[in-house]
Amino acid sequence: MNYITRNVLEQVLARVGAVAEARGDFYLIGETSLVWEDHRSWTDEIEVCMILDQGAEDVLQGLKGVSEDLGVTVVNEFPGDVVPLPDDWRERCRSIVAGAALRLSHFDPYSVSLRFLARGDEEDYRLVLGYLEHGWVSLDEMDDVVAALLPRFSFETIAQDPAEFRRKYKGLQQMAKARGG
Amino acid sequence: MTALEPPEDAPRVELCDQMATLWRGGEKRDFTLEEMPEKLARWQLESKHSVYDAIERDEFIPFNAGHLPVVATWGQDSLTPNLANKGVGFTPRDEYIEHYVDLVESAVEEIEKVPSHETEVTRALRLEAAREFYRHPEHVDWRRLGLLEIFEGTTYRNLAGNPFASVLWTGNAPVYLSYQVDCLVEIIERGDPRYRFAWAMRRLFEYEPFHIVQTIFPYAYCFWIIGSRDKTPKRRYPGKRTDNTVNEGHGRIDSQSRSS
Repeated sequence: MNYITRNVLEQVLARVGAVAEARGDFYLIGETSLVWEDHRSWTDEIEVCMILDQGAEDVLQGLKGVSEDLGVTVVNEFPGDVVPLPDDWRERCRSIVAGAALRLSHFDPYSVSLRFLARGDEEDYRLVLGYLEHGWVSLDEMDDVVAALLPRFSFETIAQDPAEFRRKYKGLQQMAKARGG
Repeated sequence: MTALEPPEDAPRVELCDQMATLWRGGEKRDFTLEEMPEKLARWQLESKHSVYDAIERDEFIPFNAGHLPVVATWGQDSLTPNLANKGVGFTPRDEYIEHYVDLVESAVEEIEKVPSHETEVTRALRLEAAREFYRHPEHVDWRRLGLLEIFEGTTYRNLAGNPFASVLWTGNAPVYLSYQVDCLVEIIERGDPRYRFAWAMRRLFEYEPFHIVQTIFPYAYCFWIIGSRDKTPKRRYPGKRTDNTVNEGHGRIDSQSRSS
């Protein structure tokens, strides 16, 4: 298992930032966000999402090179490819570096919560509990987001299976309340 | 020789790099050692930190699923295995073990200066020593588990004659993470640094309410992992699946399996 710390993450992002042609948005996702903010000491893979207007190929090459150099796994995924996202997900993203040609942000924590709860592994619940603990999401707002989105979850894909998602979300609510959340 | 000492022709386990060799009845058999699966290792780390946080807050700990798996052992002629919940921990990699034995034994030395029932007085020191180890997961030897023997009963007799064991962990709702790991078992004695580390870690928390106080640990076990299986329950969809997010069989759910 790799133990990716903030220091490793800084090296990876420095490589991305060095791609002069890159224009657009580069997002950190899940535990990678928590490590960047020192809310966790490590993660085992770097999870990102890129929505680039220009330089995507160069950034991908840079990521491939740095992941090989450092021996770390980089996962590039748009959460909306797995579950429906709230219409205002862009407004909910948390900016890290704004005003540059390549903007760096944390992807909307509500969207990320839904995406990982849909998978529902032990670390996925802990991720959302981490977001709750640090005030990135609230249960009340998440209830509203889930209520609005659940009708769009499709029975046609396992990742979205609304019956399973409902069970997992209820489990998260109970875990959070048991922790005094 | 006392009644509990193994006979001279007892099975013998030898370690060399990533291999373990079992010698039994003049026969030799090699096993490749494996690290604990990543998901299980992550769960273990989170469980340790959660339990230490609960101890710090002086909270009731009804059960410690990460620490108390079911351990199965069996004699060579047994029809059924012996099952028991055992306290299972981890030991540092060989290159770090001396450092951590010193760290934890020094903490034990300090806390033994205070009456044993005064757990509140020493809590911060005890927790810091334990947390320091698990703060560095890269220092943990994930190929092996450490257990302390107390009663020299069925588990001990089985392992002395047949040094294999399976360990089953099951976590809490809603995930019920569950793993079986299969192990080749080395019985280790007091002078071994792995015994010293396991015993010192036990003594850090000996007088917390979740432990039944013990003072006699004649042996320790090093369980070397030679296999593992993910037993975490999942909903069964049509087709073979190992992860609810994959889309084998085109990710479709047949109409009969739909529910809401």
